[in-house]
Amino acid sequence: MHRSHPSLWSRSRIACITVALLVPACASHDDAETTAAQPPVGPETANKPAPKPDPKPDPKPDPAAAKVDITVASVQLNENCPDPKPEPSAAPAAPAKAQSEPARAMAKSEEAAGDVAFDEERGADSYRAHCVQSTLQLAIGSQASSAVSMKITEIRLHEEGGTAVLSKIEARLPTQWSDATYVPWDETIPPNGELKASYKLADPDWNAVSKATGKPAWGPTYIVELDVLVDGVKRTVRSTPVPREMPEQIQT
Amino acid sequence: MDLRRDAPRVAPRAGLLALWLGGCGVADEVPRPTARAAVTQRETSQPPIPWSDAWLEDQATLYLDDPQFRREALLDSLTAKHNIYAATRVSAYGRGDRGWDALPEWNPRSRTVVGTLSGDLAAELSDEQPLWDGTRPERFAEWVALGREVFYRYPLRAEVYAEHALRDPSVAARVGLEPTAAGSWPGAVIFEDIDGLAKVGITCALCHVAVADGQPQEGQARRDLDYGAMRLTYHAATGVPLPEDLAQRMANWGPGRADITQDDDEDPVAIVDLWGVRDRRYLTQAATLTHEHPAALAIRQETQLLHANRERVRPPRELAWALAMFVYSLEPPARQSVVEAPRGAEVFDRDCRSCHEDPTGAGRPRPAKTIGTHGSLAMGAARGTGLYRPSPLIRVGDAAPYFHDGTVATLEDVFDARRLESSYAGPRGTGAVPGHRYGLTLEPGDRDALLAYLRTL
Repeated sequence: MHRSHPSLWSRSRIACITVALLVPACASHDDAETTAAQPPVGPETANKPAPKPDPKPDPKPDPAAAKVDITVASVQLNENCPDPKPEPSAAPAAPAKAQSEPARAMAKSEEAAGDVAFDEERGADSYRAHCVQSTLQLAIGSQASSAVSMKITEIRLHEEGGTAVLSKIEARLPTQWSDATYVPWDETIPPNGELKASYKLADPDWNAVSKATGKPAWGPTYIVELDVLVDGVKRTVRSTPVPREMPEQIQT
Repeated sequence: MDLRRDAPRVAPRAGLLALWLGGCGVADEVPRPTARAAVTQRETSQPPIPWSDAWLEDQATLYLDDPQFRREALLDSLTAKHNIYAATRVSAYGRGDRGWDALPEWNPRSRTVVGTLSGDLAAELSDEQPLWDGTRPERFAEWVALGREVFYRYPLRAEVYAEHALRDPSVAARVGLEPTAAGSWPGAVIFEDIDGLAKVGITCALCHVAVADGQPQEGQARRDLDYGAMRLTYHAATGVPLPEDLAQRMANWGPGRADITQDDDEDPVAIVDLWGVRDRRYLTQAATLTHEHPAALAIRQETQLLHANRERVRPPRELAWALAMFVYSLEPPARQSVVEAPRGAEVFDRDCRSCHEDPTGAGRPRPAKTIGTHGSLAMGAARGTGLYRPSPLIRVGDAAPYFHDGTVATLEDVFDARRLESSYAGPRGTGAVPGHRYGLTLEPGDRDALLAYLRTL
């Protein structure tokens, strides 16, 4: 690797040198101020009421949206899977047909639909197809002094290098990374903090995509472009080029 | 990469690396001692020998703490930039303010499956701590110890097919899953996934730990593992639909191989042994990566774990480096006795060494069309380079079947012209297995001597 010594011109070393050069200049400037001629001392004035201090104008509020950075960490274009079912109601369920022991154990261990789960509509020993959810991951950093809201308003799919919008994509179920898990998130960015967010993505209209590009949807690479409202201010962020993932792939 | 055209590009980098090491002066190439000859030089005043344990200890901070170095290391390691593997990483890795560097780190809670699976996976994890305690190792042995934990316990993904097999011992046996004598299933873990759910997952050990007579053989390919049959068995038992063409592909994989590439090409590869990786100049059968610095392997494993987890998290880089160090530490099983085969060694030097030239028996990649074996891996969109790497030969006598796709049944068949005929009955059915014509015209005496020699490696 063609690298110089990593510590020679590190950023911290450059910063130290810069400060070292500037400090004497600042000091000399301060010295100049202290040696400037002082105004003459006039006759004493007594019993003069102290002037009222000038009212300070209200400071303009920090533009919070400008202090928030949002980048796309990753996008995986896989499939759109069913979301987990809500908690079952108190009403008794219809009795299930007999299941094999391994199937019963798997149904009990499986909690997330969209991966594999016992499909009550299809009956015993039937499972939903193995499904890999498309997702979008964002890295968000804020230097705003107050919490800021955000919302994805539109997602557009482009072919890499192209400008035409091939399809739009819906995002849902925002989550944020917390203690080794993605947990539900209300799309509020905390003050002076950072967070990692993840959204589920619906499918683009792949037929329309193929028609527009003239190619099968697998093969090209795409750019996912988002419009995001941050504290009411719109901005656009883009992903790095991503392929459409082949289903049922095992990749190592 | 055209080695002849790019040789001037490779040599100066290696020379500058030697300068950086500070002890070798300007050199055309960084010397690479074999793993067996690696010397720890912590107690001397001399700079560590490249690729020694001490040198690897020193290199860790470059990969761990220098984003620019990582980016350059990635770019330097990619033999070809046009395939999907390379393009994905070039666009997303080491981008600093965006891309994969911005993903959250995942330090999972997981444990190897022992015995039978219960119906309450979450309960089995209740006392489990995260895999890594957050302490960055310093010595090579510490890195190896951590890497072993990653190898056995860091989930590549949740795996319903493995879970289904593990819940039925008869299915597990049919698909090549075997527990150790202690009842553990190497490569199968219960873990808390990134959505907070308890799942059964698979790890590196699933394919790269063989179990023989109840004893785990770390680094040895699990050639009995029939991953395709595992998936097909699941679909048959559960009724989950599977496209017919995909089902046919999986049925064709057979034990010891699978299609692991990110494209639609039919290019299954044989699971490989992990002997001598430290000494290999190129990684993967199609030489997808050049291995001039350990960061190449660490980045590969970092992005492998990241991509397998659907790009929603990334592993702490300490774990990727540790995994690389563990892989470097792997040694083949000791031989029961030492056998010499001097005549075969002469034949090898005369007829094989020009390609199988490095200490592991591997060598510089050659054009796939010249080698002539099945070309879909080398030419494929996923990892294609147009090249094949000469296979490493450590314990080659125990590594049947042969060729990158496991289509030649025995070592004898590799040097038998009858495999070129349509009547050849190989492990994947009947049909010719072309390519690697080297050695097919050996005199019988030379052929037998060569086979005897290869079995000593």
